[in-house]
Amino acid sequence: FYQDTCVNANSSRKPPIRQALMMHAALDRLEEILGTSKKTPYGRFQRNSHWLGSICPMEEYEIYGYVTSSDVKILALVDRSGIIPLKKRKEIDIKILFTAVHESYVKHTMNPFSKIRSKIEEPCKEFEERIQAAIKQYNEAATIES
Amino acid sequence: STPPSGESEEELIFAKEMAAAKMERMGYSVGFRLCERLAQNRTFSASGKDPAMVAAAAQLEAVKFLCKEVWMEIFRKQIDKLQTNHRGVFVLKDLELRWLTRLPPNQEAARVTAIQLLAFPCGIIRGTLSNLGISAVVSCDFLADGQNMSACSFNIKIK
Repeated sequence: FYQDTCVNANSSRKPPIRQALMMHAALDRLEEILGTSKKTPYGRFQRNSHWLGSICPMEEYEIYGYVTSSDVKILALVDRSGIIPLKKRKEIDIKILFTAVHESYVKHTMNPFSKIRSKIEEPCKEFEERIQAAIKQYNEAATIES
Repeated sequence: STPPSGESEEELIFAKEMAAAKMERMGYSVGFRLCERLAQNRTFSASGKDPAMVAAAAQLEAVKFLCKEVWMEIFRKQIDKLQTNHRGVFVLKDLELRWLTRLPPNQEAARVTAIQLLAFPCGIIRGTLSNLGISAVVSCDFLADGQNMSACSFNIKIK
């Protein structure tokens, strides 16, 4: 089992149903890519990078994936409508976003008062703030480019 | 320390075991969380022709990571000797563990204290491996003889 954090680039508190559904579809796709823990018990030792790339490209949204060495998956749903896809440049910004989210997760785990591998829920002020800041940075970077 | 009267032999032993278990759990928490940080920018690459070889290679990668990076972070040195049977059993020997350098001069008291102390690193090992998805049983041994009083070994048995 794993903990996954859904990051919505439009930064609304509760993501709309449609986007939530797409995230679940992306999770299934992710399982295909990474292999389940039963089929490939040591899969994480064969991955050469954390970055997974675009998992689920759709017309108006794109979902990117990232997985840590501790098998925590991070997904980012990005609204593509306002942004002209310039694939190479967009990748570095998204990677920066994932690195920032990963950092926030590590900091959360390092807190001895947090429960190991449990759902991250209120109160988690610093975690929220850091992720929001990372999202904001990505949004700014993405809109400057276009 | 003198035990309070009224406590039976069994209760004392039980209390000691509970304390050791608690130390181990604390070590587990530390090991797990530290591994999250230390493995943050690290990827592993284990390869093999068949699942058994991949498993052995992966376990070795994880244990080497533990012996080098994690041990260095905590004890400012690496594990001195690593042995394995390539079938899920690893023996880690540290010939000069920092935490064992100030033990009581009496051999028997030193041994008892050392075993109590070593519960924590056992937990650290178990926690680190658990973070990487490896379930293991870890035990420890105090290897000191008259001359070298801070040598110890850890036995990892992967489930």
